[in-house]
Amino acid sequence: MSKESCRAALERVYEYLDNELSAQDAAEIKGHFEKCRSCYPVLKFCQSFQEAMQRAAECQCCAPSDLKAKIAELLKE
Amino acid sequence: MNDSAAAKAKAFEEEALPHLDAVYRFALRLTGSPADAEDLVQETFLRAFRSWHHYTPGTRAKSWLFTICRNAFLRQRQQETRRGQVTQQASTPEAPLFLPAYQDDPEGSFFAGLVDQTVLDHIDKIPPEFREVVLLSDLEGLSYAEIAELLAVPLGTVKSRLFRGRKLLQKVLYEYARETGVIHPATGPVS
Repeated sequence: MSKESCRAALERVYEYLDNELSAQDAAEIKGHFEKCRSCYPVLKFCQSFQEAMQRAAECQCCAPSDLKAKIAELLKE
Repeated sequence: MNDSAAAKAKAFEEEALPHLDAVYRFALRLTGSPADAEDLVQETFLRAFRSWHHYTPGTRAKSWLFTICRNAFLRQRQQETRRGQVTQQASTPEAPLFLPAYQDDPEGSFFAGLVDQTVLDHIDKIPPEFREVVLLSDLEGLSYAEIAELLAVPLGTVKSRLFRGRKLLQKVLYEYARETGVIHPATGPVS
């Protein structure tokens, strides 16, 4: 793997994981990660991080129950 | 209440109020205090209601409310303290991850050993300009384009802040994991 293609893949790893790339770019980067033994572990590490963030996002708190009532009152004024 | 005021209130209730939880969470991360977050949310919804005529029905109400919330927060902060230095925008670093953590645990298994609330708490430990892109992207699921519009910054800035913000978050999570024994430097994650 050329240093240039590794650099391009590593620079865009989050864009790839966030589904922010075009289909063509995503396929290109996916192909690189599948073939490159030095970049593949970086993808796995970033995926583990992303999974932890997704789990954390699901356990976020809700607004206090009385806040909605306070806002409703505020809007009437 | 006349017909137009009633229609406005109904539209606001249907399109804006369902995002109360998301705006509260955003405010909580910005302010770091439940009481301040409540005040900020109330101000946000009051301002949103007053400028409802600027909102195009059916568009991204959540992003619009986040924008109002952030602007209100920045105004409050400017009033409290004159903003000193703005953290320099970092150029995109080459490695997309925090290297010492990667070297100790190449698969990032230690992330799975962290309690969700611990992850959330550590987001508060990274600088605000990085924190806000991380929470808007990773916790609230906004696209890069939505975040760029909300923060009024170029798309490239969103990318570089996310890149840097995630590395910073990995760093503080790794340090926490080492301090608490979730990961040992020599042997990697504790299974």
